[in-house]
Amino acid sequence: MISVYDSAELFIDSPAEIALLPLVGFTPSSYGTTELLITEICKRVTDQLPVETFLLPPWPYGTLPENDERAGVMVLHYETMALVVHDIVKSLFDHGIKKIVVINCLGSVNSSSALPDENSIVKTAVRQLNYENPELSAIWVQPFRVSGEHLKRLYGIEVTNEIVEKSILDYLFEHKGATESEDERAVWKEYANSISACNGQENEDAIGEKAFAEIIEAVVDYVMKTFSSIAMIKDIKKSGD
Amino acid sequence: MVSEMKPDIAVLGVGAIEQHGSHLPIGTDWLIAKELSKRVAIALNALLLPAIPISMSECHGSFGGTVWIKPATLSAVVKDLVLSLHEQDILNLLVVNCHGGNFVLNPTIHQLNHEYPDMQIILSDETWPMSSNGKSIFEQSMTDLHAGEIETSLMMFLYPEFVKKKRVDYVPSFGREFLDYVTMDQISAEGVWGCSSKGTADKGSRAMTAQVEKITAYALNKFRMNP
Repeated sequence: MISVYDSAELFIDSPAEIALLPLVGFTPSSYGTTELLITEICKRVTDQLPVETFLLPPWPYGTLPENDERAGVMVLHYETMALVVHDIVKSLFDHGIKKIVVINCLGSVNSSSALPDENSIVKTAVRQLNYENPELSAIWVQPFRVSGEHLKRLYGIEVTNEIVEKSILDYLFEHKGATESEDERAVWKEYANSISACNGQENEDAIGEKAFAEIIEAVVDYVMKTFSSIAMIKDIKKSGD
Repeated sequence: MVSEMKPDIAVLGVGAIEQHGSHLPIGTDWLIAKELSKRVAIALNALLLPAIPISMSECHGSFGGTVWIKPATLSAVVKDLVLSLHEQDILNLLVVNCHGGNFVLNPTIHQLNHEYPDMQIILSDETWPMSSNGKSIFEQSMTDLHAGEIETSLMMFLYPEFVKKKRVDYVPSFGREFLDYVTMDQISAEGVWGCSSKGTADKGSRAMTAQVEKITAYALNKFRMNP
């Protein structure tokens, strides 16, 4: 894995074949835990991808429903979001990274369509980038969406995002709450206070561990299969020209 | 909860992901922006917004690890965030820019103050203090632009585990304005503009303290309120 904690030299010694760009929408009541979840998922996915991968830090602002009037909600217009995705992906491509994965927030465990939950502008931006740059393979992925069937088998058909998030956070908290940076520890502590306030609920870190592993495996599998399929399609087209 | 706190001021850090020679991480500007904006927000009792991690770094050309957004995109991001703040009556915004190449911020903020006359949006001075309490902090000033004494010192203070020992000192023979005409890789093969060998953690610590004081005092004066 190459991250922002590495120097530029590493890009010469071990050029990245894939880049991962996580996107997170910012609402103060949920931002801390959503960012932690996406960061942990992306780190594990990056570790498990079989090629050198450049992991970017999460982009913290997204497009949320227009009628979201909660205090502290920060929103980008859809045109701005499209520009952000375009510019970042293009700059990675200009540096020779031709496979780019945009992690489009978490998505929904119950989603079954090709339309990403909450953020179809990211899908649009990725599509345009691929049209404009034929050598590029940019894809968007929502971790909960691609692992939905696995999660339903694990939790039951009535599973929701909130149930999955909570159990994964329980598991990660047990293993990470005391070990991370001061800022992350503050988020974990706040999360711990919120779960301890829920009387009678059992700590479900056992199922959370399994769910986390399922999500990572599903994302890695989806990413590699998708890039492989794209390469095959483009090869077919080339040989048919 | 933000709705209960009702903050008067929001603080937004702006960083960058770009090469910083072989001794500093590519996330240097972002890591500094996060820390500086956090300290300033605490001093001002303000709402701390997540620092923008990627900005106008195209000036670093073909160096690996450099990612950017265009000037118009950065401008649009700031405009949208200001609109979000305005809609929830947070009318004072301090932008703490930690990447020297973000020249679009100045005209953007100028324009936003005209478009939102009930808001005060200010951009902190991104130059680091050369002295504190009468004592000089840094030895080089005019010749230190990128991954030199200043940034090396700050990172040695904040994240020493990510600072490598190998240092390069390089100061080109022409002025900074040349980055308007060519890219950094065409000027400095190692990506350094300054004397990184002069960086120390003590300088970084003193500079960070002095910068927080300077920015906080500036903001309080401009916003005309007390924390």
